[in-house]
Amino acid sequence: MKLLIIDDNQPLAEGLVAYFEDVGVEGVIADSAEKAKILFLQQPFDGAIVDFYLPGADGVRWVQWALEKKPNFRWVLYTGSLSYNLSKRLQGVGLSDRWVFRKPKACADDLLAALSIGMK
Amino acid sequence: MTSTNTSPFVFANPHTKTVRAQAVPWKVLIIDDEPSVHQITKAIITEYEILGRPIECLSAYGDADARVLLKEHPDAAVCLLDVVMDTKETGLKLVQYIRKDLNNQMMRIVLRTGQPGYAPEREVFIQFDINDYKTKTELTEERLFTTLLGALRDYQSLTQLDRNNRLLTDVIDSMPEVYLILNLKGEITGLNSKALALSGLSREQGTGNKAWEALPLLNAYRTELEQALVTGKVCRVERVKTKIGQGSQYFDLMLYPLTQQAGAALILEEVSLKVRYEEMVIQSEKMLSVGGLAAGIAHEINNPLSAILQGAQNTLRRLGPEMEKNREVAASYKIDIDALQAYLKERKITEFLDHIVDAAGRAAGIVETMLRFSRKSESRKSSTNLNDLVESTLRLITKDYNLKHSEVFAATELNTQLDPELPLVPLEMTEIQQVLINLVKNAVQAFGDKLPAGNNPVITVSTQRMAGKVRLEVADNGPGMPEEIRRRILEPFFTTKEVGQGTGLGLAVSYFIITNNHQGSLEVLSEQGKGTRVQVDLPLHLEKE
Repeated sequence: MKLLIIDDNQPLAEGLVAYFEDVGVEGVIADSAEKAKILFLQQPFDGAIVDFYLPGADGVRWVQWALEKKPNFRWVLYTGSLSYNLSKRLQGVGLSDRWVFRKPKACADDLLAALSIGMK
Repeated sequence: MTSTNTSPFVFANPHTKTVRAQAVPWKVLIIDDEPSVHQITKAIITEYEILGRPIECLSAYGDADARVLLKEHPDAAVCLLDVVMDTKETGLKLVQYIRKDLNNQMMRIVLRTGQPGYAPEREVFIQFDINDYKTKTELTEERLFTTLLGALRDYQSLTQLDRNNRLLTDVIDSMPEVYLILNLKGEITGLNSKALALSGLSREQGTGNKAWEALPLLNAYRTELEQALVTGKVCRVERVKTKIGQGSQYFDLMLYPLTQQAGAALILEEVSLKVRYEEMVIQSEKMLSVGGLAAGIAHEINNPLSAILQGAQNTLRRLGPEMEKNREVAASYKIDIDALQAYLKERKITEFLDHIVDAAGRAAGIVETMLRFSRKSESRKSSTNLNDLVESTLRLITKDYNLKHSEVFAATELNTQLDPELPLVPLEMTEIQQVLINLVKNAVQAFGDKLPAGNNPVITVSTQRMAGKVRLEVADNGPGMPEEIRRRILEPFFTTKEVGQGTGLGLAVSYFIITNNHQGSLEVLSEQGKGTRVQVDLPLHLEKE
């Protein structure tokens, strides 16, 4: 399994990669939505962990873009903003709060579990 | 000009129009043992129309029927009263009966006697409260008319004055404020019913007392009041406070000089609700500012906290002997991972890492709690049996690990007084449960670490149906708190617990949940040495948000 980790918080992203590595999952880091787009087009990923606040385009826009490319692509939004809720518009295009995880309460295995369920 | 017109308050006679339209007659009582006197008097005066009204004559012929007549007609304007009837003094005794027994000071009494020797004019006038004295022989038709006109004019003025006085008294007595009239020494010369209620004194007890003696809450401002009385200046004091049981009452005080008399009026307007409302607004603003701050910094704090947590968890995992990869890498460096584990344990390094995970988790919890202040409850409220919720929450509390191991909690008597008639209340169960847990935990912590000497600790959780709302109360018999702490107790981050023992958010969050999310109120009443009561009022009907 290969996951794309889109987060500009380097220590956190590297921590996630280390965790995934220990459980046999490959993690690739992109520190911006733009870089994530390039990686997404270049390599096959089974899912993505996406921060909301990113330099440039935000995480939700990236998810929308990715879903246009691969409608069944699995993703989770991993945000430090506790007050963040998906707007009705985003819910309308199929994004669900079910896939929104809060930092720091949700830990790496929660994210992996959510993505694994999605991948079944 | 009549005396009525010199009154500072001139009120229109509310009956004037009716009187003119229907010409309600003046009642004139004729009390005389000679039937002929009745006949003649009636024949003459029923022809009159005095001051726009006709005259109605009512007759009595002796002491007994006179008393009945007088009692039945307290609104009679004039009484033409014979002196010698059943006895030589029947008339004079009837004067006493009118003025003292019936307490009728309005009726004009004209004594008419055929035997002036029995009741000399000067003595009778001095001794008895009569208005005119005539011998029957001098009462010609003309004199009778002028006598009646004079008496009726007096009666009209008096009744008008009396009406004005009653209205003035009623106005002052009905005032929602405490109202005192003081002389220049500060002695009370008049006071309204609110002043009586506040002082607990009767009108007689209150009158003549110094204002600050009758109302001890004024004591602190005695100097200012005395000075204002002497200088004739207005004195205002805001938020005069007095203790009522476990709560406080607040008044705005104003003393102003009277313009026509030497003295002043003192008004105390109760502003307790206003003060409480201001406190609530300040609390809400503080909480919202905390919430706003938290929303702003949550992202900035949660990201590094995630990295800390993730890093510590990764470190712990990668030091563990369970993971094959760890063993492989350690072996490649000729490290015995079991020996490393023993070393880490002995040097408490794994414990330190666990502490990092715990501390980061707690910090995340604080940020999450702070954020509650910035959000409206999005959850849907449902009609709930509050008594059931109280009972299930108390069961949960008794299982709380920290409380279960508390010596104080083990010795605490946890009582409930639940109103069986309690209606369903619209509320968010988990939030009210959180409030109740916070309040009970606070009550336990109020007892301190050790059992108080004397009374056993008792916490009583009660529910009560009230008008339009239900009250949930948590009361303890702990040490209570001084006013300066009570005033700040709802502030976010205010805590009396030792550093590290509490965040000071529990009560503030409870307050926010009740006032912001449930349109209710939360009030803390406390008296040192007697305990603390926290009253939570939840409305039965929510206004649309």
